[in-house]
Amino acid sequence: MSGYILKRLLSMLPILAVVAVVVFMIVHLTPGDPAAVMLGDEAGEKEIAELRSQLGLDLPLAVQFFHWLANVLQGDLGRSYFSDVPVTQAFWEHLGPTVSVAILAQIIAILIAIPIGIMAARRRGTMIDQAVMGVSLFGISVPSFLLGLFLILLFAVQLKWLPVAGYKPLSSGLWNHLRYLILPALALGFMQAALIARMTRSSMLDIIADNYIKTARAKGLKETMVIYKHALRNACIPILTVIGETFGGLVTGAAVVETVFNIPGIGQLIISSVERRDYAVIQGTVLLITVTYVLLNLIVDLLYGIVDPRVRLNRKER
Amino acid sequence: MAYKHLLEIKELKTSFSTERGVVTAVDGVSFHVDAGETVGVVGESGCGKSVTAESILRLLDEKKTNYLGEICYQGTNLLALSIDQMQQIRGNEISMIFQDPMTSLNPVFTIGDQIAEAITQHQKCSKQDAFSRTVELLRRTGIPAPEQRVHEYPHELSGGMRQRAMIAMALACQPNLLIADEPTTALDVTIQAQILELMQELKQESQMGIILITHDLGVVAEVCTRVVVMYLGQVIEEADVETLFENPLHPYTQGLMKAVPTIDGDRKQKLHVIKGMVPSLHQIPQGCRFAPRCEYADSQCSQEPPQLHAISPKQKVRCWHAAKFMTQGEEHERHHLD
Repeated sequence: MSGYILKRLLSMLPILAVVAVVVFMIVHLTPGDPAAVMLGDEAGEKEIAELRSQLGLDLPLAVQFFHWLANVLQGDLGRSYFSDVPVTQAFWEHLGPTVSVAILAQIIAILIAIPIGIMAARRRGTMIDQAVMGVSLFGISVPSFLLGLFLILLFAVQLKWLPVAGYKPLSSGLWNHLRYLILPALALGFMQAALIARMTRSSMLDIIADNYIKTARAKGLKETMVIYKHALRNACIPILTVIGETFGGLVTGAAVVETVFNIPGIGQLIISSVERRDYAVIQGTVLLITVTYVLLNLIVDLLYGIVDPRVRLNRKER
Repeated sequence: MAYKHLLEIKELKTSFSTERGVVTAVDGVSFHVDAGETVGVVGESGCGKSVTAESILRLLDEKKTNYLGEICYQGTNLLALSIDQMQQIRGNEISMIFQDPMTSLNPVFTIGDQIAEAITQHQKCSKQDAFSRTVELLRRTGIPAPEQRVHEYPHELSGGMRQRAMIAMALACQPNLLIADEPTTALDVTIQAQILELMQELKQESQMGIILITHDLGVVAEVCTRVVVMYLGQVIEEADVETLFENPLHPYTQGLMKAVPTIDGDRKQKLHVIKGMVPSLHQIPQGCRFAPRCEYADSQCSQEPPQLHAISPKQKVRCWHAAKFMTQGEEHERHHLD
């Protein structure tokens, strides 16, 4: 098991190397001079040139890249040009809100989607099934920012149940923390729920037709046991895959919803860094996001082994 | 005892609503099983054997299935019971073993969990009790080192071992009736013999009735006391096993017997083949259902459906020409019957 994890961690290195090169290149090939942006419109050419050499921006690209890479390998992702805090610190500060929203969105999605998906599978072809499929198609198609705006209009502006936007950390109290998270989590989780419900339905439909389900019924088990114990456990692998993949997306790609709801998360960090040409932050954050994403995938793969003993065996043999 | 037979199926009709219309997979099947006997149900694929078996436990999707007739277990009509009452019977009074042990066990639970589940479902006992009884069941079904095997997953066992585990699961609550749907078809020949032997032993210990569904006449000859031959959803012949093998009356039964390869005799002679294929349930022949494939069929056969009638106390057949195939001795017996 630990050997497997180690192997997986090592296999992350090439991925990270590619991401590092790509991120570095893209940032430097886009127009806009960070020194000019930082000093503002009134700065003279001389001042800009001074700042450029101070930041090392006047060195050749390859040299800049190797300097940066050497620092990264020592755990130093550089400092923000703009706020002068270490990139890792900025990342950690912004990770909290993002993770909070993502976890709440995921919980909402799972709690809604799995029972609904199972219900649709058991009532295949009925009105309920068609309604679930229809709503989930809607959920996949509607962009989360649009849904977010509608949610704000309804629950914050009209009904005044929840705040319009913003973020309060957990230290300000659980309910206060959650109050601000509910709407963004709903906006993000709806699409998640749609994806998970569809996967649950199709996966359950496959499993329900399997022979061991008939065996379970022939044993005299109650239908709820047959479905929620025998069928669901088997249907979990594809469902888990969808959850894992999309959870990575929630953590790393909630930029739009974070902007709509004004949540100081990773998405906002990236967007504002791009606006400020804050190269170090963009590079470091994208790299750390990649690490997070790959680690999440690893966790999902390890969960497979817990759900399905056959996966465990294969690993022993490998 | 208020009832005559352990299980009596009376004029069972099982039909499914499909996109192409209603299909009657089992059409007027009647037979019975007594305690301690093994009844073989024989026929080609698609003749309604498995549907009959699954009708008994009502395992078919009832939203799409319609049952007519009666299935009386110890005098109670199973078709009239609620789902809750059926769940009391499944696995407890009547158990079932399926064809493919590879896919009939749930891959994500240990076999011990799956067997113990059958016990705790029907009997009040602690988890430890259920567990030790599971080990005992595995031992009785001939699984070596049951204390270890009980913790293994289905994929860690061979096909024969899995079928033994299935049998252990089916026997967990000492049922009165065991339905075995092609229990040996997916297994190697040597394993087949072991499994059949095991079933015989267990039957003798417990006096349960067995319905053995198979297309293998060799299996029937070995273990059955009585045989029901099915064709296209109907019983076309029923007899005790000696009578059937000595004197098969229905041309279909005769064809099945001839289609079994033998080691002695002229091996250059081609194996007998029943011509044609089982027709689809959407195109059931008007008269005798076997007529289009029967070498003796005449105009009566293709127009009027024959009824299942008793030829002797031991034998029933559904054929207009059955009398032609009878030997002298049976003719004599039939006169007595008349």
